[in-house]
Amino acid sequence: MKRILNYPTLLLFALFIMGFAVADAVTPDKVTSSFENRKLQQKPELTVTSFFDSSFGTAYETYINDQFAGRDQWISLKAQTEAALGKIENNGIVYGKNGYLFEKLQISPNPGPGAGSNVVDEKRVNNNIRFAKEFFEMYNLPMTFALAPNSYAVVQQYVPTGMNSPNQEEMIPALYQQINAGENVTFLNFINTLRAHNTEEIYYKTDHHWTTLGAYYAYVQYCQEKGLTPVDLSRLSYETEEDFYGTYYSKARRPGQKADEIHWYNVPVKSFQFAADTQDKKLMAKGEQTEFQGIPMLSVNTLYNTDKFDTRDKYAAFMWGNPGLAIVESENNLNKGEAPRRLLLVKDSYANSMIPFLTYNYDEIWVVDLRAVPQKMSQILTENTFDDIFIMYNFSTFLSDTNIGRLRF
Amino acid sequence: MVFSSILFLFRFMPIAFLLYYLTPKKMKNLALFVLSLIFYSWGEPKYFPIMLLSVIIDYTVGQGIKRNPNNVTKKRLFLLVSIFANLGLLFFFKYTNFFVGNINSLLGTQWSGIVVEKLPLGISFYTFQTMSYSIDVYRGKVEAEDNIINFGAYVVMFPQLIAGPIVTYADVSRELKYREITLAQIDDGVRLFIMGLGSKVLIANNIGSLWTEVQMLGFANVSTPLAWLGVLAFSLQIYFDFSGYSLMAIGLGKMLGFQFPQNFNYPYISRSITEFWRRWHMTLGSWFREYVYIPMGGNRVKPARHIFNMFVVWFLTGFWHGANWNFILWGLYFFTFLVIEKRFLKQYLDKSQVLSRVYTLSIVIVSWAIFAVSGMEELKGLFSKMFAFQWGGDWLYYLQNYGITFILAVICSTPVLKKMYEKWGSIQWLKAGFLMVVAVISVAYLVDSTYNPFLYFNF
Repeated sequence: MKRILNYPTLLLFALFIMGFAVADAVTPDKVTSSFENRKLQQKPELTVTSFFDSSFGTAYETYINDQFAGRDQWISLKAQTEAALGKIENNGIVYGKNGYLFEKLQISPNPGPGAGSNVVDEKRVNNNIRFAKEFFEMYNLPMTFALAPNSYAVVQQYVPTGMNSPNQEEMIPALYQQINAGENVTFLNFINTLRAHNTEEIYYKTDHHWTTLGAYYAYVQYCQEKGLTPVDLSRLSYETEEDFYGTYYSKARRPGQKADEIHWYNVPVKSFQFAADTQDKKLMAKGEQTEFQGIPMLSVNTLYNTDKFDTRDKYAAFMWGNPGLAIVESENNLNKGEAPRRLLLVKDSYANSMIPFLTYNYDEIWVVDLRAVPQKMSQILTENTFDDIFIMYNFSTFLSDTNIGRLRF
Repeated sequence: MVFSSILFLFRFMPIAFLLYYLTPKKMKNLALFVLSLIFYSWGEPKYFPIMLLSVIIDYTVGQGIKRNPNNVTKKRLFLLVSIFANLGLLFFFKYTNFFVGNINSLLGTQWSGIVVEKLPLGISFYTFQTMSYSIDVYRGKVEAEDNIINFGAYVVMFPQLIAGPIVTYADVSRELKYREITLAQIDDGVRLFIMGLGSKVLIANNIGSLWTEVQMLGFANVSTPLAWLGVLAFSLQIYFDFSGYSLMAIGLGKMLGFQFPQNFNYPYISRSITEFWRRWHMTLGSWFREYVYIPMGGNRVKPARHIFNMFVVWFLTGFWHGANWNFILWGLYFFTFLVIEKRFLKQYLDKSQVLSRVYTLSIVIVSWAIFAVSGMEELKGLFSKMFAFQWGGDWLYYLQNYGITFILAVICSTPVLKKMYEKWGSIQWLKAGFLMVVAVISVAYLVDSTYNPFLYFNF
């Protein structure tokens, strides 16, 4: 046995492989990774079909990878090695100055199968433009459309030179041109407003969203456009959550990254009801189960699911995540009229931090997220009346989202 | 299954090697056969019968030739069966759609090709190996194998099954019957395996993502310097990808008790294209030399016939790499330079140290552009970007990002590390420490990997 000591390479490698093979086999499987904020692959079932169509083999390989012992530490080790190699990006996230992380958004005519989530297929982009245009042609209603720029297009001073992402300053107006179908649509471009404030903390450094302050500046511009009075920020008080590491950080794991803070305005609401998963007993215990036009909803009295502040996915506290349909009723309206003012907001998660401010201008806000909407858009638009219709997406989500087509149904 | 995966490293490898080492000597080939079949059919069980078919045909052919030592007609017939069957399988799966497509565009016909989602894994390699066996048996170079398990173990042996090196039966026939497995040999096998793993995971994947990005952006949208950076990155990627895979295979072979032939010998330090092809994918080169070039007469023929022989070999070499015009073009591109060198250039190149290397590398790097881009229109786009200068600042970002990786890759493609190993490699714990760092970091990259292609799997 002493002879093996003469072969340390063999000895150490065997111990490494065997040690991790055993450790990995005895470590219990996890359902989700809080660090990566996603579900992990579970052990696939071996059947004759799944074996022969090779779906078992593929799923099993993902399963072994996802459940590998010490996965989080391995991922950090890779990030550290990348940084040591002088790399200024990891998994499609670019290391900017002043602690900022940016997504290296790319539009590609032929994204390969290995392309990361930062790469958008050009065909998808063209489809989404067409879908939006068709939608505006279908309804001759007054509407407002806005694409909220990504952080790299606004806090440009922190972007490393040469980062090769679409120029949103040029692309946003160009997209508006392409989508424009007639007089009924007002196009809003926040980019200059936001750039005027780009030394303030208007985007998270570690996450793909704008901050509550960024959302507020956009809100003010929206109000000016619509002739509404924006609520004065100094009139409201906010609370702070620390230690927020967002989605960019989850991908990039930049060594030595400092956390973000979340500011949130706990504005009073009369009721907030949203389409909820009634199977989720823990969630349903937080409010009262109601039904709205046949859709099971949860009714609560706050816009924030504060439990989420204790998890990694802190941004999901806003608006209780991204329910497919939500209705906010409040008495905050600064210009209360005889009849209640109603807004339909079709959005992605960027809007979630803006909605609290909008309660100061609308008595009732319908919030639709196309990724999970429980009704057809045509039904929502024809069976209800709204004073304003506002469609707001983040630039990169609008290009890449696979549900924009639902606008037309 | 691929070697550079968590599944292979921490599931297949420990279990397979434990079983293999514990199996009594007499049964080791059977164990190897079964383990290799599991390795092969993981993820692609459909094509597994095709490989078995190839094994059975060539085993039968070998036996047939052996049993008719004096009947030349029968021997020839058996040999033809092997050649037709192997080339037929290869042709059917790899080239049908290419020919159908070309005939359609030429004659305006509408024939449909065959439906193959993916090429049967490793078919370009194992058909060449089984064919070499039958030819060698026919020539009397090796004795036919009586035990089908031994023969099967040779063909499907997992280290070399999927992407080479192309091990001929003569290379391993002795070891198939009798092999000693020593700790020293396993130790050395582990060293080669880790070096290969590092080449593949740390260098090839890393630098390859630059080329992928250039492709993704589209050649029309990048500057000339970035286009060159991309092609340079691909040149390094394909070398470390393929030589890394070969090293892993050779290492695993050693751990099993086999000596596979060397496949790469620092090709990028070559001083001529002739030398480059003696150092690049050496087992493929010797296969074509042994089974095509020399039977055609090699260079012991009239000059015109010699050039024709070279033409055939390089056409086939190109075509072997893929059923596409760009691969044929790539093969003939080398043919051109090889002829020029044979005629007059070689003697000057041999006298030069620096210029010869600049010449060789430039030709090789441009060849990888032809190799990497399969659409002719796209290739035209890439070339016009490379040779019609267009300025842009985009490459600065990529140089900053990939600079150190480039330097490391360039250093590793020269024999510098080998020289260091010769100097320090005898200090066992130092060597072990270095290799373990490479292994551990490679695992980290595999755990967090979205990009882990194997270029030679397309062949």
